[in-house]
Amino acid sequence: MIVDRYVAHGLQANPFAVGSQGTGAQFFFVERDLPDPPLASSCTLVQVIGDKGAGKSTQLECWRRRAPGPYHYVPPRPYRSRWARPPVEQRVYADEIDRMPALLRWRWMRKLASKGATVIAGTHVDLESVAKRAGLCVVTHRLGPADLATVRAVLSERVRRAAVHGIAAPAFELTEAEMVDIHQRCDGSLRNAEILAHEVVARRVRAEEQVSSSLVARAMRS
Amino acid sequence: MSTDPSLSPPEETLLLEPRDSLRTQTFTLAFVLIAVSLVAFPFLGLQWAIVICVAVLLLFLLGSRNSVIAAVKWKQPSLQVSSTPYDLGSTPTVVYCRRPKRVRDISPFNVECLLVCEEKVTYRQGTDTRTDKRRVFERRFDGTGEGSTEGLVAELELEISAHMGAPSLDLPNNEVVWFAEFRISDAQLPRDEHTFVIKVAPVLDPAHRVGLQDT
Amino acid sequence: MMQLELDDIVCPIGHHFRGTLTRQPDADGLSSTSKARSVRLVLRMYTEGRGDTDRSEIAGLNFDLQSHGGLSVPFALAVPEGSPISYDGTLIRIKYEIEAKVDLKLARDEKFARQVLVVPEGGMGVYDRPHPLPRLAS
Repeated sequence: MIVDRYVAHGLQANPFAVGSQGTGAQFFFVERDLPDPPLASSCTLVQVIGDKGAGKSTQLECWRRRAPGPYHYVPPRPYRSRWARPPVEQRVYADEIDRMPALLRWRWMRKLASKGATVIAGTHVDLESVAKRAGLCVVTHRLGPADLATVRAVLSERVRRAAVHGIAAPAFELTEAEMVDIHQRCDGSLRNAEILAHEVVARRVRAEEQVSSSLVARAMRS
Repeated sequence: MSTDPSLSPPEETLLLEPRDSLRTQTFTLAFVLIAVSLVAFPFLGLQWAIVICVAVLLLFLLGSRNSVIAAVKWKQPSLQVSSTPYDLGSTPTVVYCRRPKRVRDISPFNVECLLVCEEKVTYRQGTDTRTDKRRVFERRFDGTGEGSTEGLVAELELEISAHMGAPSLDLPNNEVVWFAEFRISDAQLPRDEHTFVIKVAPVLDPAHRVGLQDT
Repeated sequence: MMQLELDDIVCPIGHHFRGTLTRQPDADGLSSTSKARSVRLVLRMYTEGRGDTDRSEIAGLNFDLQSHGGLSVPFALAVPEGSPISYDGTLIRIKYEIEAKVDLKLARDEKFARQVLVVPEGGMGVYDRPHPLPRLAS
């Protein structure tokens, strides 16, 4: 029998692995108590402002699951891809719109305003003045650094989703001390918190194993 | 890995060149200066482009002063290693060597080596590509070197851990890299650091295997 | 309907996973023929962790099925020199599985997979879990 360290600790896999199947990497969302955006065709820009890893994209995805609409992402590279034409619909989602070239962004906002659309966007920079000049009303949400409660909720939920069911093993939990340490080191970024949590789980799973295999013990003493 | 034609290493060994050598840094600097000039000149004019380039050059010299000072008097170091990758749990002996550009007397000196195993992963979020690295094994080894006709020569016995780290791995999104960071601590000798990448094979050293032989 | 029996679920680099692959017939082969045409057996390596998944087929074998869809054959899947070993790291996990996939006509292919362990050369009898080499309890 192969000893799977993670299964021995009650986990299907590391809960913080990227894109793994059947674990907490599937989409889930911990509420940040932001009100839902206005309905479509409200002539409004809802901007979610926050640093990298604050949870802007996840918040957008949560809203988009409840009220679908076309989604536009502005990549950092190559530069020419930032000029991709964004959609103009009654409800539009867009992420990293601060990367959009100013001219393209202005024209896009003017079109959205003339159509009376609702646009929900993630950005690092406050675009209120530009949006208002284009004719849109603006609602602003600022995602600050994730507090301990948010970090705890996100990490705990991921661990819960990665649990192996139906085996008589104690459930794996991150200790409060580990949560506090991760929160202190993550600089308020949920993304950093997940990376740190991945390491914590990996190290704990390896450190706590009890090598009781008689085969291994005999082999090393022979 | 590469071979230095000016030295004749024993059979079954290789001479490694350091990673991120001053030569590489210089090429990078030249590229950056050209790029900065091309961007700054149309917008800021020739005067400001020159000022920015001089500032970049000064920053480079400040950050790499040890390397620059060492490069004036010393050739690039090399590390003699086995031509076959090392086993997990093995204790290989490596030879660090550095020649001066002119003949000089060299007294015994201390050499420090930090042997590191690092995991490096790449992942995409949206269309962003991100990289994370973590050192999963680090151990310092100290040794004493001396001057010879080859210049500075120091032999060190390293220990490739069998309980931490993993064999060298090079996949598109997941890598495991072993490298050794060398530094000499002596006021009269070059104070720059050099990193050499070594290979570790998925082979368990006989000392850790079942049925240990009598020694 | 499919059975994959392995002589050992642990194999060192440079050796073979050996076993027997069995599939029960699902037709009599006379009045009716099985939809199953062939079986592909692969040794697959894949990663988990903070990096995007790297996945590759290390070794593979194909077996044609008879008209009744049954099969019982021994096999040997080689683990080539230089392959990665099973590993539990800090950012990376490397895992191996042997998968038997039945090619079914006009239907979703039937799959059966089993986790296996690839250990360093010389590691047989020493490893019962992915590298790193476990330390003995004091």
